[in-house]
Amino acid sequence: MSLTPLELERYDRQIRLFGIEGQVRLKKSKVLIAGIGGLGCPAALYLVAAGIGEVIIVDSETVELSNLNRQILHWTSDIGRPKVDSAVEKLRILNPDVRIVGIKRVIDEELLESLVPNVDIVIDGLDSWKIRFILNRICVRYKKPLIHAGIHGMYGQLLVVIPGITPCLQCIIPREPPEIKPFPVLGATPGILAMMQVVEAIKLITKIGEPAINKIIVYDGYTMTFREVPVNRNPNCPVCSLKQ
Amino acid sequence: MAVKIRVYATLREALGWSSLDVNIEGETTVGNLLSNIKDLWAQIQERGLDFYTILINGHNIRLIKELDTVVRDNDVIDIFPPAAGG
Repeated sequence: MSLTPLELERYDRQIRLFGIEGQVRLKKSKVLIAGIGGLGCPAALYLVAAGIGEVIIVDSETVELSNLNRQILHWTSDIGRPKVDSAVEKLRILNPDVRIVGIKRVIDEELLESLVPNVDIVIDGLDSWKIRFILNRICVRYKKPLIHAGIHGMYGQLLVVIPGITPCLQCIIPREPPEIKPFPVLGATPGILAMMQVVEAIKLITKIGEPAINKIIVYDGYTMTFREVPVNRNPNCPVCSLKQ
Repeated sequence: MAVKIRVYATLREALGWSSLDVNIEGETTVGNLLSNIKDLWAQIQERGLDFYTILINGHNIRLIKELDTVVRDNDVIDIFPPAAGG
């Protein structure tokens, strides 16, 4: 696989970072974005802009007015439309070179079983622990890197899961914590966490830098601090147990 | 022995501190240690233990011995409410 003259021009500034080889790696890659909301929208924009070969986005919801402070691919005129349609339309305009697949379906185990084995990396844009745990389990089963983020108000956390190497989500959060819905959120909070997800995804694909593994990064917008919590694989993890 | 306790996000906000160095005599458990830090324990009780992730040296205590997990010299305990939104 090679790059066209237009691709060489479009990606010039990042080819200066990781070379044509890195850009070709991006072009060959497939990324699944589970949920096209506060995290998924900015993550999709930057992944598509970066020239990922194929981006698959999944979401079952329609755009609501209260989404618009943070779900930046959805605009006022999109209220009532499926989020997937709203996102795919704009992403295709942003970068026609990227194959963008939109799937308007409830995210469940059956759907994830059909999608996860065929992608290189999964971006967690979900807002429920129950589905996150299913996603984590399927990513571990198929050994696909999962880039988790969660947000609340002015806070968020990032965890990069590389199955077999790092702790999985349930090593750290074994049981579903109680959820607060609707949760408060400043729009920029998922923007920050989504950018961190994209940086980690691109690093993994292009093989530059060091992945942010074996730690949770906790973002605190009130103090504008990023603190690292070291985490370890848990031999008793219900999902990726070393004893299995 | 010396133990470090670090708290994050809304817990840090509620308590007004982010890190605490504790010196105690002899071996203890996570439950004993935390219940003796009045403001922290009150917050944990208020929202419920399930709301928080408690790690000791990077391992969740739920997968060890819950609050009966033994604390040793130089252990680091990290406590945060995982953010669910997306």
